[in-house]
Amino acid sequence: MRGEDELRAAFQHKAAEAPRAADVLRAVRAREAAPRVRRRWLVPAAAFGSIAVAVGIPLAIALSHPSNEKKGSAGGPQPETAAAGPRVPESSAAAGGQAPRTTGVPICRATDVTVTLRGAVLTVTSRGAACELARVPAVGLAGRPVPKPHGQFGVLAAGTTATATLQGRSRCAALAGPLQVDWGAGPVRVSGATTLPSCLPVGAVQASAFTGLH
Amino acid sequence: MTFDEFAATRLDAVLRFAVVLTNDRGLAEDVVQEVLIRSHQRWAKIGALEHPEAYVRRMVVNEFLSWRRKWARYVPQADVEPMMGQTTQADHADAQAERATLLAEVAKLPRRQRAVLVLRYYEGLSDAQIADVLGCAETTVRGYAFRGLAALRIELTSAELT
Repeated sequence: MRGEDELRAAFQHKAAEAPRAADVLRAVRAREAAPRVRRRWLVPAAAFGSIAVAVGIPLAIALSHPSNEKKGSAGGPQPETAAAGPRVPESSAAAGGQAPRTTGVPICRATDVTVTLRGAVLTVTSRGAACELARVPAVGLAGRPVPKPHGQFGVLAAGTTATATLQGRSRCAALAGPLQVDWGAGPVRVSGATTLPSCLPVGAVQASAFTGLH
Repeated sequence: MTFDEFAATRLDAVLRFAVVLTNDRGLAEDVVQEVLIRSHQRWAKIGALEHPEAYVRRMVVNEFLSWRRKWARYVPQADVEPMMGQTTQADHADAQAERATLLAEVAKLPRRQRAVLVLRYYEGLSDAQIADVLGCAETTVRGYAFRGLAALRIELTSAELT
């Protein structure tokens, strides 16, 4: 049988392996400084996005309305039978388990938008006409299967920006490779600087709902 | 006490406690970093306490008890000291090996049992103080200690028995 003093001695010996306080404090200072830098950029970006949405949505509706009339029947938004039609067939969307889309606006292709990733914020900016994104995109690490997005779609008005926040379920070192995002048009590779872990298993990265969609 | 004063005078002790508690130098550093960042944000209140170190130590314990849900990749490993190439006396080598084995067995204990043993045999806290840190009853603390010591095959020499 062992004695309590052996346990005390073992603990005292283990305590000698502690890191230096100065090193830990330096790391704390660095971490405290870093988030403030990122937030400094996020606030103006969020403000710009809000203004763009407030101005862009009415403008997009006004611009899209005449083109809908040209496509066929008069009056009101058209269902999926619009002449231009959705670029992704409804059958494939339904087969992927997505909620049916009723606006007639096509799903955004990778060439219709600019996608950026900074930190944990995914930003999708319209480069042309209004198009649709799944409100909650599916996210996965590059080289691994990305699940299909589920749920409703929202309209990204022309010239506007939508953002979503990525979340990981564990903490590790910084990500060393690109992500893939699927908003309904298939996985799109996104490169950028992110602070998400690199050691996540499949399905452990998830995105919040996009803000900025109509 | 300001945060900088606390860091200059007490952080070393907190880090040593964290290493003993987690049995992993890297994990101890991460736990203490998290605690320092959170406590720094609330230091106006913590610094005004009579014993800020005790409060910070409680934060370290709570962070350790909850870390599995957050940091799944950390698998605590006992640091087995290499015996190859060391020119030590046979008795000293045996003591080192026994100490390494004991620490490895401590690392396998359930987290709360480990916390109780560290707070009792490293920090020297009473069962009442340990109960205050863990937010449980003294009888619960004694139960954790009894089971932990039994698993380690440690014979109690003190009068405190469950």
